[in-house]
Amino acid sequence: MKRKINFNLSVAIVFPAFLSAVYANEKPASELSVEELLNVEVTTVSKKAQSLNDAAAAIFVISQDDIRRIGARSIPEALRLAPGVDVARINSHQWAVSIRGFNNRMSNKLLVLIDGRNLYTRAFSGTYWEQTDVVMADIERIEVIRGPGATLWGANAVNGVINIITKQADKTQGGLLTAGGGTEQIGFGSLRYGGKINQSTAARAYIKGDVRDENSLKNGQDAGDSWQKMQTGFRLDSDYTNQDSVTVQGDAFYNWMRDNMALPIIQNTQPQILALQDQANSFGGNVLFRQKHIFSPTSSYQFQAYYDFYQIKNIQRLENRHTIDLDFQHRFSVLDWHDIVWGAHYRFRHDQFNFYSGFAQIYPDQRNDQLVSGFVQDEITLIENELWLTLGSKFEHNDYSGFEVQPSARILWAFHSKHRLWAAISRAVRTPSRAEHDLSLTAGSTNVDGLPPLVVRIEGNRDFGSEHVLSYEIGYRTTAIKHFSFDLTAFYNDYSRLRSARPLALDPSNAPNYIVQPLVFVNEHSVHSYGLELATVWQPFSWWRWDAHYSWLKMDYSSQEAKEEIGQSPQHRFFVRSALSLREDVDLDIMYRYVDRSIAIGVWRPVTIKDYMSLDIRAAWRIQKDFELSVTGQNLLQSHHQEYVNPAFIQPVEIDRGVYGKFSWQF
Amino acid sequence: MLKSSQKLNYCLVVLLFFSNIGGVSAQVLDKPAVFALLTFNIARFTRWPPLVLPAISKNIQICVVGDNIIRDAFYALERESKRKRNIQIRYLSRLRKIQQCHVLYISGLKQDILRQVLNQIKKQPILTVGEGREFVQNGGMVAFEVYNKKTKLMINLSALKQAGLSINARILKLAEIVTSPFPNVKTVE
Repeated sequence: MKRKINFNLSVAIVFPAFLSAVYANEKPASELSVEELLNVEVTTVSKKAQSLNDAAAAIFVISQDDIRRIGARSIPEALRLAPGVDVARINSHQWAVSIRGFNNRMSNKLLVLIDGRNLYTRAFSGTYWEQTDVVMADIERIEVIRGPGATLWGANAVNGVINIITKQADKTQGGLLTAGGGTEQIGFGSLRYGGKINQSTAARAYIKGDVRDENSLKNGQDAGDSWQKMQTGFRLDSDYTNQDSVTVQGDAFYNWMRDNMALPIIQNTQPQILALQDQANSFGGNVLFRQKHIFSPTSSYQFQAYYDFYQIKNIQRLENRHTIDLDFQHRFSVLDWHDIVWGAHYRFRHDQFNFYSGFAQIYPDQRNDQLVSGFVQDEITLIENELWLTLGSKFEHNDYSGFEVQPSARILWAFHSKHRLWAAISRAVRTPSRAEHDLSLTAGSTNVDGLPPLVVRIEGNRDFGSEHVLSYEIGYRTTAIKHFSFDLTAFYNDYSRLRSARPLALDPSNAPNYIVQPLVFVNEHSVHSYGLELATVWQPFSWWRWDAHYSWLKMDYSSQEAKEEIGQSPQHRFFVRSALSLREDVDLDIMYRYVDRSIAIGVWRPVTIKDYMSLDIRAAWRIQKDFELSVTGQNLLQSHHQEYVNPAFIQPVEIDRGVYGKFSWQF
Repeated sequence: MLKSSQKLNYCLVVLLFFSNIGGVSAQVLDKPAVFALLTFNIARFTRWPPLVLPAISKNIQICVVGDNIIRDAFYALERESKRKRNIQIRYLSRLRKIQQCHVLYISGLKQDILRQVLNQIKKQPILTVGEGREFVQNGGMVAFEVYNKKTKLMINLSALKQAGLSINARILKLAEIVTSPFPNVKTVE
């Protein structure tokens, strides 16, 4: 036994020595001739381990390679790779995604864009993630910006911006067929084909579909939340002159979703809870046009226009929304040390609602709103290649909250080629939603023995205004240690005028059957939050990379009511991933995450979500260069666990363990 | 049931079997290091018009556009060869003062901006070096691309000629000669 251990030790010592011996005994690289250099074996280590970005902001980029390698079947799954992003799955088709707190199914302080198209909806202020989809293999990268981005992107970029950028059509030439299935992802497939129309014009088209199984209730029974989806789309890019390019793209989707609901109703003059199975569907589409002209390497303009439409129909409501959006941006440089970008933006929206049951009404049932904005930002080079100051502001007028100013000041100091230090102060606003202004909703009832039931009714309020944040951030990035990168951000956010529900006088007109307690939305809560976000990459070998990130968040609420109405995002979150390619044609990825306890906002009361751990493993084998087989296991540690609850009337769902297989063929 | 020590043995054997670094005999270098070295070596075999850079010049200015990785690779080269060679590396963070460069190494620029940079300096005696076939197709002079783990060298002769530069025939023999396919990138016969 003892000899065995010695042998092991010797192997462990010899192994690294053997590796280094391979590299020794060579001519110094600087003395190689051109001919010799062309014959050297080149390693293309993923740049991420060492790359530093020059932004005075907390930016993280998720690459296509990472998205593929973790087996992400949806955009929220891919977002788990980014530090500071709180991704919680509510059920098969709903997600709660946020940055720096305030998580919710409709996280209202996070802006999401796909190729410049804004997915933030005015209806309930937030993003419908089930309508946010692309062919995963066509994503070029996802930029995740933590902290306010309102100076450039406008209102609602309060705590962050997620920019999903798809590949240009000339990068997706030929065919790509993927298909697979498993226990939770019952079946899925996508077909994309791209071709060249002429020398400077390329295009692609795709179709994809997904069938997802239902998850489980706490007791292990089926949760009735299955989901099916179809989506199709196209993109065309043309560089029609040396200085002009144009992009036209569009998508259309159809969703079928089922949910177990528990609706508060008033029946026979008595408040009751009605349990039923909802069959919802949604469909929509968009078309976008973008033209770009370049005057010189430091001067260009861009014009973008899009139309977007969706309809959601479920047992409670019908929602239709049309958006027309026009955007112009121009950048140029002055005097060698000013880089100026300015822009103008106009958006028109029309919506229409129908509520089917008596527990909710909206008035008026149709509403148009307009938004006009302009911005200017100047990046001033204070010391060449070393110190930059960026000043700017957005000026915006919208029909819901009027005039808003959202300035920011940022400074970046590159005091060494391997170190970056930055700091920023910025202001951003979250503008009111249609529901906050115009919806009246029976949120539930409480029964106290001997008294008539108390029905809580939330009333929209046209005087409800914007929520504000003043944010202070500081960050440090370094690549000073070989094979290792380190990125740390600290922030302090001062939120004011946050949404609160103020009780009005009791309405006894239905007594003795029940008494109504009206609540009206006002801006009376405030919160101070602070936190740290740490992201590291360690790449000891070109074939083995470790990514880890940790985030810590603390919130101080102005009152106990504020805490109960806002909820509490996880204080600690930790993620680690190992990406191993022992052979060039074999990938093995392991992801582990820990999410601390959180408090989600349910319909009737806050719901405590227990802390959880999760493990995903993916193995892939490229049988040929163009043909890959993979197996992905998700949420492997438990048979099911809860990550969040829907704040509306859908019953809490726990997310099941799942395994799926997939092939991907390029032709 | 395997003993833990046996397990470890298996792991190591499997690791050695799969790992493709074990059997490599040729020299292995990082991509940025190879590209920086090649840029410098090709610059040594390039002739500028005598007024711009006399044959027995003291200093070659190499300007670098790109991220910190490629920049560090050039800086390392500068440090290493300070005594023997006369090269100066200048980092262009904002695409300004390009005219002062003898060699311009470009990486990570969006294609439309790249095309504008190349268009702006096309008749000036600046040796433009970049990455990928598109670089030479867009009017760049020298490009590298990694193909099957080896570096491929591509040279656009008409772009060189237009700028009044020439590269030694010995180097040209190692390269694939590429012409600009785009009609709007004007080439001079």
